[in-house]
Amino acid sequence: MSTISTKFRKGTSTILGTLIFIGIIFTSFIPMMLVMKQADTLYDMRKHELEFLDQERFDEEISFYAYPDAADDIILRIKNEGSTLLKIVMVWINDAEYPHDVNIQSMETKSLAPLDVVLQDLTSYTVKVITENGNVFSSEAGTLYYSSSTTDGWYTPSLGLCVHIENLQGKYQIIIRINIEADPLTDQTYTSDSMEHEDIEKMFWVDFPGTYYVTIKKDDPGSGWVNVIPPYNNEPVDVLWPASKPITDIYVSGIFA
Amino acid sequence: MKTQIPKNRRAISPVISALILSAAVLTVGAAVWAYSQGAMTINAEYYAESVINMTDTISERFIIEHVCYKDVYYEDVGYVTELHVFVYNYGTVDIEVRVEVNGVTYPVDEEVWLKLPSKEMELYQTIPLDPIWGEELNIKAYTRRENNVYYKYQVP
Repeated sequence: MSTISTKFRKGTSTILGTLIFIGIIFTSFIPMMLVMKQADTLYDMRKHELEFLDQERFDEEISFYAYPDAADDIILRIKNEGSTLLKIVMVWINDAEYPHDVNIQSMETKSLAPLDVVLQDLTSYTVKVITENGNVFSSEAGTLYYSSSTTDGWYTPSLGLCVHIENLQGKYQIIIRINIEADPLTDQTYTSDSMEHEDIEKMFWVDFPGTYYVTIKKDDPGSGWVNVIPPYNNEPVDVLWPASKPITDIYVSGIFA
Repeated sequence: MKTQIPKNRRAISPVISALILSAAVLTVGAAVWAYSQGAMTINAEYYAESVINMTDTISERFIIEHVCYKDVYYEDVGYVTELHVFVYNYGTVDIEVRVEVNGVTYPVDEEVWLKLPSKEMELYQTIPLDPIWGEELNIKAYTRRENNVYYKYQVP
């Protein structure tokens, strides 16, 4: 009589068990690991995307001035100084909101349509814009002030030239001349103390937008007042408010030219 | 009386025993297979869901864009001065927000969350709070996913 060998009988269950184990690995464990891995990959992708968006937000840079046009109009002049497209979604003038949908390309300057404001006497008007990326920018010109007692009603920001000298010890002289032909009495002159060891920052207030002539000299004990780098020797400097900032900055080093 | 065990009694047929053993292995194996498949599917789904939730949490981006007092007219009580908090959701996921002013949370009902869809311009939470000139208000907006933003407002 033929019978199944004992060896074969013992192996059957082992083989079946092994097949079931392999089946579980391939149909349950590996798909589970794949799903988890995919979820992790999506998470990492999203994280990188967000890092990129945050960087884009951080890089947003604008030069923005608000100034009155007609008695009850405020114009916003915005220059996108960043490298990416800027989208303005909201303008706030005090507590009044003005929804916008304006795109400004990199390095482009746009003036927004005049915004009608409800004027109240002796009131300050703070202007700020909100970008699509969630940045809030306030007008570089500062707060506008309205008073019905003045001719056109508005006090606009003070205009001026701000001279920054990287001081390497020494005595400096700064002369701001309204017009090269003008009476020397209209010059504004500043002479620093030779004992100053810090950088020099001097503000010169002016009454009107226009071209001013700037001279910056450093005292050389051997030869008197000499130029610094870059040389400012009656150099024309424009204050172009409201087309540009109300304060024009001038930077020079304290090194002899 | 003595009972005699027959000496020539044969064991169960080897074929049948092999079949029974195989059937038992297959049954237990199938049960383990089904259980593990179900458990691992649930595990994978749970993991994927938690990762998606975590992704949404890190994707939240919002700011308090403006705070001000406004006089609002109600037919029954007339003009009421309210603190308005404007929140802008500039992120890519919808958020649910509550606002806390000097430690007091609004809306007062803890179950109420203000929904603010992605890129939604604004939403304001009105808060019946009397203005005290010069008072500094510490305002916090927080979401259901526990992200916070802060704003300091001085009553003008």
